Amino acid sequence: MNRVPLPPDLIGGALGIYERYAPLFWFGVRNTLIISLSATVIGLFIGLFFASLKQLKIDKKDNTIVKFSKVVLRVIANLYIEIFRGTPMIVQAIFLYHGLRPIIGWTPLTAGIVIVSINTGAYMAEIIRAGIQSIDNGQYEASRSLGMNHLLTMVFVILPQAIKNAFPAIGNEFVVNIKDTAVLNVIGVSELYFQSTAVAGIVFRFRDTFLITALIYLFLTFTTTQLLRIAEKKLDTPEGLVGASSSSSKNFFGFKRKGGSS
Amino acid sequence: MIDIQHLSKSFGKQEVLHDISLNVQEGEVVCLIGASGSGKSTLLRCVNLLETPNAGKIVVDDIDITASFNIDEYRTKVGMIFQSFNLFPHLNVLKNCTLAQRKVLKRTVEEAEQIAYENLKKVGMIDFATMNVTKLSGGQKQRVAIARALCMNPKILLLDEPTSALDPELVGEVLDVIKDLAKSGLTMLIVTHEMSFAKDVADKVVFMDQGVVIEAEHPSILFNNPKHERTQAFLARIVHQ
Ligand SMILES: Nc1ncnc2c1ncn2[C@@H]1O[C@H](COP(=O)(O)OP(=O)(O)OP(=O)(O)O)[C@@H](O)[C@H]1O
Ligand SMILES: [Mg+2]
Repeated sequence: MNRVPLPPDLIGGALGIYERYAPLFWFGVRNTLIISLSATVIGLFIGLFFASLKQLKIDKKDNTIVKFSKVVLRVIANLYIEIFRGTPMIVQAIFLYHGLRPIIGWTPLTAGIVIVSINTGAYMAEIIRAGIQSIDNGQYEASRSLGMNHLLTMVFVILPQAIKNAFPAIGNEFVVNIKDTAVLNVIGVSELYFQSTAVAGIVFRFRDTFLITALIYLFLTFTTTQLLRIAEKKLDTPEGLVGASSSSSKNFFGFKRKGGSS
Repeated sequence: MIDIQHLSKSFGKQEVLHDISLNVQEGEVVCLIGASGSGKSTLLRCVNLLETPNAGKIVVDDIDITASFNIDEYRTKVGMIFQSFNLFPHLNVLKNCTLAQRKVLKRTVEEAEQIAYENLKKVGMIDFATMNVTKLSGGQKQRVAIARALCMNPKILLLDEPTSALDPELVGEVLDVIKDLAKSGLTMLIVTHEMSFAKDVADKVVFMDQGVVIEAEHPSILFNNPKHERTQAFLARIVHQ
């Protein structure tokens, strides 16, 4: 396979490497996409869950047990968010993978999906929380005044609007994940970066190999960004998942609350 | 039907409602008037428990709603109309009207839609059923909000300045709907700045000032022969505007 030496220049070298090792790169792409896509979706649900916990409000009418559990749940949500946003994912990956391997014996790929999901969840929780805050309080009050309880109101009135408002930020998490799965090479997940180091090690041409790697990452993120844009436009039409914003709702970074009107 | 007894409400140190007592009979339409900040909205919101009173009682249909009880069930019986409509922008007109029917009253889709159509017809919005609510005018939005509330078969409707956010030319269509409801015998508590409307529709007009009920009378008495100085001053100001 390596009979003919690679051309010495960057472009020639890169083309030669791609020609010989394309399947190795695309195997890495496959894993990168599996992890980043599933972790973004799972992370969204984790984020929804923890954002809802953070929304828990203590009511004067609650009894002591309810009050206490609400406080505990809120503390747990805050701890989770702070810990996973406050430490590098590469550290989380090594710690969790090696820490849990003796107990649950997971593969690097499974561990990779779980770690990126948990990490994404922490960011998603904040994104969803901001999305919830961007919804006019009148929406909450109108729903409650129709007899819908807190849970029904969140699920059918607040969250659909919050997710729609937060959609650009949620999509951005996916793009970030495509790039950030690269850190999983430290636990031996054969994603794109890991595969690239393997190829570079065989041919001993890091510069040329990583030109290919960079171009593939760029292709992935660019395509994803464009697809997300199209999806966003779809959401904005009345036929989309949810309709356009009302006169009273604010955009995602508006944060304006009307406090139940006059 | 609604019996408010010695109700007080404070936000922090500020006492917004002070020892309010007020009675609304079944089928009665009561209009609340008064200057901005006098506590009209807060009183209305207390009746729906969007605000929790600090003292006093609100007895509705012989049940003290300030004691602990099923708040969500109670709220299905008391509709609330907001100044800013608060329609759900992610749902179309029909779904705005069916959501709570299905989730709270557990009606079937067919049942809920039939009731929604009946009420949309009442407010003259049946032709807009499949429309996105964000595309409607203010007057249309408020009429849908009224239909949405009526779908829960409320015994009482609370309206907080239902026409204040509307362009002047759209006020009439909403007031007409409310007048029809009044004729149909629905019990209503309405905060309004539309004095001629209050005169027309109210069985009782309540004038509030600084968190206190100053006078509660039939409109013919309150508007023509207000007893209290503060009522006179308020009405004089309104007339001169
Ligand atoms: N959530 C709140 N927190 C603190 N203060 C409040 C709150 N809601 C109302 N207030 C205060 O309570 C007082 C009465 O307000 P309220 O909205 O009931 O008046 P209003 O008669 O409805 O006035 P308007 O005609 O302007 O609607 C005001 O001084 C207001 O600032
Ligand atoms: Mg008000």
